[in-house]
Amino acid sequence: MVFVGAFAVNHYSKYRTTRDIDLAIAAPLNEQKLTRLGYTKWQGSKGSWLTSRGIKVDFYTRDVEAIPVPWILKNAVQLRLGEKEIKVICLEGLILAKHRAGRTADVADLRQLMIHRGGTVAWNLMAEIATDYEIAELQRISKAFAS
Amino acid sequence: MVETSLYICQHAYPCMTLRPELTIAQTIGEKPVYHINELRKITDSRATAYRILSKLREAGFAEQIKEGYFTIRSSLFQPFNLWSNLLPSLQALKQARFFGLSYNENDVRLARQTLKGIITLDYRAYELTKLQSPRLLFIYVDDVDQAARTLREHKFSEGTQGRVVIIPRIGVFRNEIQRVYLDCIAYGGRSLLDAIAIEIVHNESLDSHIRGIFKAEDVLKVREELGAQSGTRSD
Repeated sequence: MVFVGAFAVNHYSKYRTTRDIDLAIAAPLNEQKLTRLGYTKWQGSKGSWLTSRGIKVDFYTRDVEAIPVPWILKNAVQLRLGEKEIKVICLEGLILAKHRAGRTADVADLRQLMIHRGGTVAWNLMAEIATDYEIAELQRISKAFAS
Repeated sequence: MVETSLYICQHAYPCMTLRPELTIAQTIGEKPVYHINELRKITDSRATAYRILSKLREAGFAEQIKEGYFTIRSSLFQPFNLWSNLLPSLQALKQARFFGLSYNENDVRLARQTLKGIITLDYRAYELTKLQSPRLLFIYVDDVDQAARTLREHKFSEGTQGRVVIIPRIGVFRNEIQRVYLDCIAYGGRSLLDAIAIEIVHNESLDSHIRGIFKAEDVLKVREELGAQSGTRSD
């Protein structure tokens, strides 16, 4: 299980986030198990779920903005959060996902990520999932924000 | 429809003319950063591109980050007739000064105890909507230099990374929620989600003639977030 949304953005660049959680998972969604764990199905647009504390969770089992979930799981970054170990999407995957999503909040997130982490992007890793055009565009953004 | 120039002249900042020709910049699309060549492609000449960029910077819509590169606030993509309402916020944001001490939430607590002013954007929007975690404390003050001195007396340093942001009190503050709403639209980016949330949660407090235009997908996202907070569930 890998965090791919706001939680991941906040790991790479402290920024504003909404409370929702986006998770990439390997196995198909087991709705019965989620219900047993206290989750409730949410009536929103994407088949989301609500935790018992009212936090919306979106599960991704195939891809995130056309980035295959197996690639996200393979390249995830492990973090320690108190006693727990969790995984977040790698910087390259997150940047590409934000670039492809292109909504106002994603553009703002991408700008923050590039300002704070643009100089540390592994372009060879990104080349596994991005087109040449996307890499050129992202390198141009990174260059613009480089000090 | 023929749109006329907006002549804006308010106390505390110079008169400014925003001409409808500037709206050509709206066709550039929303991106994290732009090169002057992109503006050149949608204008008649390089000189026109630079002139438009200069006007956008003057208004507070654009900021140059290095030679040839600039950023644009998403408020530029709002309708031209709203620009005059956004201008006081943009002008105040243009003069924003950032301060930090511990560079964490303690700075925000200390600044709130120390400074007198009107809080807007992140922290006020959070109080009004609970939509997004706040990051920067934007505070309108009557005298920016005095506020800066007060913060320095409390060991704050001025820079670009601080979480306390003092901005000059420019424009109208009669309807505080309306002003926060316009500030959020003017600031753009993630604050646009705050503006949408304010419009949903505090619709009755807003002037029905002064409204932003938002993308359907952003409105949907905010509606879902607010719905989740209130615990709406399917059967």
